[in-house]
Amino acid sequence: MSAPAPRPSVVPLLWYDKPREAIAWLETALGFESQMVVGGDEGASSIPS
Amino acid sequence: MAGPTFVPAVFYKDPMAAIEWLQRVFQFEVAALITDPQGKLAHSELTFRGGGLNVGGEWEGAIVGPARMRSPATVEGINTQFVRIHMDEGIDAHCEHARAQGANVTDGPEDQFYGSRTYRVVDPEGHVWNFSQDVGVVSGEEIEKATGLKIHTSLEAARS
Repeated sequence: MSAPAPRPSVVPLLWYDKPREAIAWLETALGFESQMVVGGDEGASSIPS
Repeated sequence: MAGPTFVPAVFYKDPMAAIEWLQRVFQFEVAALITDPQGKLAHSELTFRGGGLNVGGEWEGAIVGPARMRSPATVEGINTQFVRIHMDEGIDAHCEHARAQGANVTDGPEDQFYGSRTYRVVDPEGHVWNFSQDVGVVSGEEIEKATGLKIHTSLEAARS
C-alpha cells in the first residue's frame, strides 16, 4: 500500500451493485489503489487513491 | 497551482439554477462558465476550498457510449453517487448558512464514530451532498470494536 495522499476536499462516492468487483476493476483497469476497504460483500466501501 | 485530482461532475435538468443554488447555499464559486449562442450552459467549473466540481445539463452522446447523464429529478430520485466535501473547519456555520438559505438538511451536523462530524443535504433536484470535518482521531481497532466491521488496507487483504 502506498502512503495516503493528502485528502482532497471534494470526492465522489460511487455506489455499485457489486462493490468488490467494482473495486477490483478500478484497480486493474484504471490503476486505482485501495487505501481502505471496510465491510463485507453487501456493504463494502473503499477509499481509493 | 495544480488542480484537484478528482473532480466530480453532477448533472441537472436546470444547471443554471443549480449553479445559482450551489453558490448561494453552499458558497461554491464559479471558476469558469461557458454558454452556447442560445445562452445554454455548455461547461462549468466550480470550486470550494481547493476542491473542484463540474455542473452540467442532462446529455448523452457517442463520447460516453451507452451512458446517459441524468438528474435524480428525472429518474425518481435515484443517485449513483454522493459528493463528499471535506472541510478543515467551520462545518456547523456552513450548515447553519445552508439551512438558512432553505437547504434540505437530512442529517446532522453530528459527530460520527469514525472521528468525523458530518451533515448531509439533498439539493432541489435530488443530488446528495455529504459535508465532513475531522473532530478526532479514531484508530482502526476502535472502529472495528465499535462496529464489528473489519478494516482492510487492500482488496486482497479483504479477500484473505
